[in-house]
Amino acid sequence: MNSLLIQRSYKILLCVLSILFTSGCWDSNELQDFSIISGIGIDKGGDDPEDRFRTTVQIINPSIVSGGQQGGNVQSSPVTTFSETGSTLKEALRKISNEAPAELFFPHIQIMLIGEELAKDGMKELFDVIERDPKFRVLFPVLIVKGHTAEDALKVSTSLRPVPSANIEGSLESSKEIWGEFQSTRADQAIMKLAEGSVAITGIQINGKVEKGNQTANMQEISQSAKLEIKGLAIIRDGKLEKWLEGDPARGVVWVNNEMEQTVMNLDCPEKKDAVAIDIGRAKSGIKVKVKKDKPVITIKINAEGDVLETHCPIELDKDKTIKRLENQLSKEIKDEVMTTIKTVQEEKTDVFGFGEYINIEDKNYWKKIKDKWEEEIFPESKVNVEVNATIRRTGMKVKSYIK
Amino acid sequence: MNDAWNRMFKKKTQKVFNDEIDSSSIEQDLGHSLEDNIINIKEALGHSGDLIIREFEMGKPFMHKVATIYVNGLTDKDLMGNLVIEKLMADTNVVENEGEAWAPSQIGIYIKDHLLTATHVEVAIDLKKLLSLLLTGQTIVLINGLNQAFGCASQGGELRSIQEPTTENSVRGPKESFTESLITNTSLIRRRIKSPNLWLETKELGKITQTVIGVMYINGIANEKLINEVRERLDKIDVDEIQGSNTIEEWIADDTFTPWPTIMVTERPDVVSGNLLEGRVAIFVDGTPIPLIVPTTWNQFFQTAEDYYLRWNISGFLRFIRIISFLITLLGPSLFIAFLSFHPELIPTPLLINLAAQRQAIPFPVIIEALLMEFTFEVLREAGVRMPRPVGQAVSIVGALVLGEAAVSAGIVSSAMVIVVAATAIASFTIPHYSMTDAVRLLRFIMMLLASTFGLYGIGLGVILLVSHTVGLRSFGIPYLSPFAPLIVADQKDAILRIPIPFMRKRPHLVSQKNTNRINTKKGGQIGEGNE
Repeated sequence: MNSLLIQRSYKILLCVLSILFTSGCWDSNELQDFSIISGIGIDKGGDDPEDRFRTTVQIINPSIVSGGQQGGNVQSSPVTTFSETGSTLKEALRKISNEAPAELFFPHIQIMLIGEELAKDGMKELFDVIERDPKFRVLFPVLIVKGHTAEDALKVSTSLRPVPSANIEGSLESSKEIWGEFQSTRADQAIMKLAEGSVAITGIQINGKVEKGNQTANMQEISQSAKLEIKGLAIIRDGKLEKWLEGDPARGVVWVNNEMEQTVMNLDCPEKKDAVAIDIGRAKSGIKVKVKKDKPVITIKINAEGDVLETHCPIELDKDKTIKRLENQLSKEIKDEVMTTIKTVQEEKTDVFGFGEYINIEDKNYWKKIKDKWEEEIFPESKVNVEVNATIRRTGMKVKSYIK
Repeated sequence: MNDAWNRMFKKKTQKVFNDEIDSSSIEQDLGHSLEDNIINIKEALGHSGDLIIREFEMGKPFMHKVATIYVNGLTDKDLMGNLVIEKLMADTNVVENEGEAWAPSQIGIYIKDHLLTATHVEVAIDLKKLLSLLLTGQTIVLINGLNQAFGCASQGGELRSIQEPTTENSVRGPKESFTESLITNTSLIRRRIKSPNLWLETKELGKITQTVIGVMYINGIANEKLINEVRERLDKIDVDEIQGSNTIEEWIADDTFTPWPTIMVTERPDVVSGNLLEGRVAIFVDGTPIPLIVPTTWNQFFQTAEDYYLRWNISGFLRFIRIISFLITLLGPSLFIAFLSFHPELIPTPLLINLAAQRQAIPFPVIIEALLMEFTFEVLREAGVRMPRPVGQAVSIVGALVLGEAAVSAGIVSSAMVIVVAATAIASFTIPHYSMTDAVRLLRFIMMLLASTFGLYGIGLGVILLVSHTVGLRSFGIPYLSPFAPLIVADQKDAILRIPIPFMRKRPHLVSQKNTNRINTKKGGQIGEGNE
């Protein structure tokens, strides 16, 4: 009895041990053995395949960032960048180990920047490593650096948020939420859309003197010599940058993609142009595709709700008629914006909205037929209807303005 | 040769020693001669200094030699003086007896029935019985020529009075706790449950210590099988000494090799009476102010008496907090270790930067840091229990400084680790029962080691092992994790939640299978009249 029990417990112990030691690969690492990367930038290297890519990583200096709890040197910068070239991204990143003090730690990447030059040459191959390597997470936004290299952009110091990558991510998020002109494309979305064909990726540009950015002095200035700004929407077709959209056409992309959260639209008064500000607080859009007479008809439905938050002319906001008129104006304004965008992308022959996928869902046989010539021939010719239903909910704290 | 061997080594000597203890010398009957009896008693007790023998004579014309014997300190001297010695010495009937001399048996009957006004008189005819009466604090009366002895109830002496509970405090509940005296303790219960069905079975355990054990239950509510099981397990104990309720606990527990306590202890009479009314059995041990309650389930360790004195909503909330604190105590440090050394990608970025900054100067891996801090804390805790009161403040100041400030500023541990250890320590004190706190205290270290070798995966495995072990445990036939596993929906009313008392109609399902109705819908119902 007792020996049986002992035998049994040995067996159980053996099972437990084999479960413990045979499953998964587990490597423990201490936090201080990591260089936490906040942002990664990819540029075109040289013409030689040996140095096809130039990667830059921005490594956080934790003791400076966390408020110098351990004392830390106040003079040192909150982040450090290292760059290396290689024929593959992985090679280039591994080479950085020669410079970095500890193992690179990728999961906390906050942004990925791509240099404009590389984007123009083609960026299709970039994402394979990000998807394949378990050390990467794919939830960070991807941005294209307008006019400069990603390396330059990662070197620009920022003052309000000491980690520049966090700063960029913050302004991208807030511009998306508050201003609604630019969308934020996460790496996984970019991968998905690149596989389908075209994608729109938000851009970032360096304002001011680029070379001043790489100095902590830049952080100490009240108006910084070098600043980063979220600007432009890059239309990418087949992995290559085709065109930059800006302003209203860029916002049109956000409307269609159902990513609009908040924005401000200006409407005309009878006597004054762009004099009534409508604060859009809620928006929703949907895409429907029908195949009629062997041709796709795309319908975009947009519902928007907003408040009147500013007016420069004495309109009678207490009257139903006025509100109705404003609503119609708003609908038209949104529709115009979206139509401009669609015209532009049709001209560029890039289906950044992924209408093709909707056709596939609607009628897969038809899609198979037109798949190869969709972007080149059919999409630019397709009919796109935009239906906007705009409502004005409130007029703010006042009904009548003091303006007479 | 062989003999010499035996004589030299333990086996033999031990046997000799045992023989002396069970020596037949105390098993003899009492003789007729007072002198011989007294000598025998003195011999049996080894001429102990606390044995007080008072010899005197009764009656004037006919002398009757009488002796009173008691153990100093075990008896109430007032009681003994007034009710025994004074009565014997000042009796006029015997003193002024003008007739014939009384036979010793006559004197004996007269003394027993007319003189001894003690509340309780027992007759002993052999030395063994006499000694046991003597050692429980009775006053022995011996009469020359009579082969009997009278034991008069005069138990007393110094005992601790009933005080406020020290570990299970309550704000609105009663403020008394058990004492070392079994009789005081059972009387505290009797005062709460004035039912004839409250039964107490006593039993002496321990060949040398002769400790009195009281098994208390409510007849008609407690399950017969359970009572029999308790009796059987107590009968199996055959030891020299019972040093307190823990000895009994370790003897009768279902499973010795488990981290969990499977028998609940308490120092509060209201907790015992509440449990008796649920159909459980309480085991009192003379000399220990902490009775045992069986059967016990895991969730009882997270309930306090206070839960029933506070409103139902707040007590449910408090129980929830205790369970959360239990999880923090068990898993807090190990999760911290696992996240830091295996899964830093799961920590939010700003927090990770913060932690990385703190850890930059730390020379040790997280696990060493954690063990160092936990160990320091355990040392401080143990020191706090053991150290003499007057130095307590000094130690706690040094401890707090060492733990809190100096270790961090010296760069030996990170402040995050101090926070984790401190939070764990504080959380561990919310568990109301000390035995459960201790169980978690040890399990925590196992979890930390698992976390440091296998990460979250190790913690997962550890929890699975622990749960599967716990599910298999039983306490006197009741699954330890009930009412969660097996899930008894009706008993959830008083598990983590506590529903308002008027809605608690039934006693716990598994404990009381006999008389399950707590609330009688028809008026005038009595205990024992439930739905059988």
